[in-house]
Amino acid sequence: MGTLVVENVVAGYGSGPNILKGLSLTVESGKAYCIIGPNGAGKSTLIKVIAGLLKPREGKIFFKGEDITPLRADQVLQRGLCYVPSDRSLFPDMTVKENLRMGGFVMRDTRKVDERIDELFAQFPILKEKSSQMAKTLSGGQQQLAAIARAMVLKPEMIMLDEPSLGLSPKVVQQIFGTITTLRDQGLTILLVEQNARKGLQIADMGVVLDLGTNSFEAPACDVLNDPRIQELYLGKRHQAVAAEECK
Amino acid sequence: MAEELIQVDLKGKEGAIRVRSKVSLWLKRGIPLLILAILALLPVFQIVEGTLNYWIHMLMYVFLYVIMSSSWNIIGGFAGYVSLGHNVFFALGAYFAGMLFLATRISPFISAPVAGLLAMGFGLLFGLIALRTRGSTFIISTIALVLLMAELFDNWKLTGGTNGLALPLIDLPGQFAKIPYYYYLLVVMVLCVVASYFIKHSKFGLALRAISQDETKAEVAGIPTRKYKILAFGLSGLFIGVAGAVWGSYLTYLRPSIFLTVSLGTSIVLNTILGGKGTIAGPVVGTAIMIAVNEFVVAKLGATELNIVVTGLILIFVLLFFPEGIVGSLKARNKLPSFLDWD
Repeated sequence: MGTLVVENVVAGYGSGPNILKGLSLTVESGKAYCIIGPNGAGKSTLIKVIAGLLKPREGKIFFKGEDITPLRADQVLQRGLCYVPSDRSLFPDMTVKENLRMGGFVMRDTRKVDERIDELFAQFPILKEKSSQMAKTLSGGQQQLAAIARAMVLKPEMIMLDEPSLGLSPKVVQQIFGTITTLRDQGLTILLVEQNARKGLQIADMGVVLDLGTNSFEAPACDVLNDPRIQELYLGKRHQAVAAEECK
Repeated sequence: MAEELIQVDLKGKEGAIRVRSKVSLWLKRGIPLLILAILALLPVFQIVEGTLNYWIHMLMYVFLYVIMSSSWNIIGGFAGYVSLGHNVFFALGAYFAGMLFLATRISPFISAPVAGLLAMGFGLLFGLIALRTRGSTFIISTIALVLLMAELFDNWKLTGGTNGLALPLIDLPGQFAKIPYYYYLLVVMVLCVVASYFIKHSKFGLALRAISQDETKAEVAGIPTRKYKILAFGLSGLFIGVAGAVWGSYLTYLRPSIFLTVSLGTSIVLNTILGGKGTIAGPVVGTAIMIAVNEFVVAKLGATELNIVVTGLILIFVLLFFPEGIVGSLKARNKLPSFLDWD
């Protein structure tokens, strides 16, 4: 029994076609999952459905045994399942600290929120340095960090990240992935959607390959990374040797 | 030896910085308090000298508009929902207190807080309906509210129709007649500005600012956006209703054409935008400047309606160079004098 169980989910936008076509997935507690797949496979849609931003047409989602399918996004948040959207979703005209406060909005005790923010500032010193600057003045990588920290204010058990590397330089991507690894090591369950499949799989325990709305392949990240089909499809052949080498 | 010298030097520097920050803090709080003290003492000179009635009237005018702009700022500035119909609260307060006085002889000074609550209740009700919409649809719905209310009050026998209602003069010699109104409005204005400060710095205020930036994100963060918007709209009517009750009694006559015009609702908004919407000092500064310029032009050039041209030009030029209003833009450039930084 996993922490998060997705059962036969069918979902799509408005009156459009089904994007997810009966997808099932089980996420084990304390592990990092990386979802890869071509454009249009439904990676982001899956995350939105889990986060409560999009109601599935069919199927159910369980978090820690509770059916969270009918819950609103903020209720899902309160259960300890946080989501960092691909656009980072900070409030541009609020300071970094105010943005973090927004992350703890559903908590009643504002003093606890402030304590939690101090803890996060200790973990991410760069954010402390920029705490009274408007979020829009931060660099892309700093904004991504702030978005992750904002999701962390609620002390979630699981965090979902939609394309954290989007629009960032390789060096910054490295830092962000380092942060994600640290979070995993602290016991957080992680669900990661990545276009940068190789990078994503390198830091993940498990790899999930989506293909046209169904879960076509699920295996330990190393196996996915080394699977010849995957290499051909998503990683490009020339990475084969490199990938095998990097995977322990 | 050298080290000691450096340390002394450092201490001196730190001391200087501390003294400077103390002085600036003193100025920051001192200047507004000084202005407030002068405003509070002004009627004393009127009682002694008896020549300040014109100034007292003009200041009351400023107080009234500051109350309206500062209140509007809660929904329009913090939450970003521009309402052009906030004068409806003003009319409701005035008519409620006036009619109550005619029927029961209860002084508007006593009934004003109740008038405020009534205006707030009306705001909550109207917000419940109108705040389902956003952007331009919402703005138009508030204009519709003004027009609807004007139509209603123009044709309602109970409110005296277009002729309105006449209220008796206050039972004081002309020299002192304005003073109770003056103090009442002054106190309401201070309460209103202080309240807007506390709202802005509360969790509620943070949520309103989040709503103004991105309502969907705000909702995902767990803010009950609809509830908060309605609450903000209602709250923004409270002090305007109180001011309406007092102003109506001061004018001694209530007519829809005084209270229920689109231009009145618009000028509340323009004053706030000129000063800087979403800031605490903005509505105060914007209103004071607008009224001072307007009055100056009228005094110099007479009732030629050139005052409208001049205030319009000022608005255009200020917003060209201070797109976030005077206080907002100066603050963004770190050039705001500390005594105007009330945030």
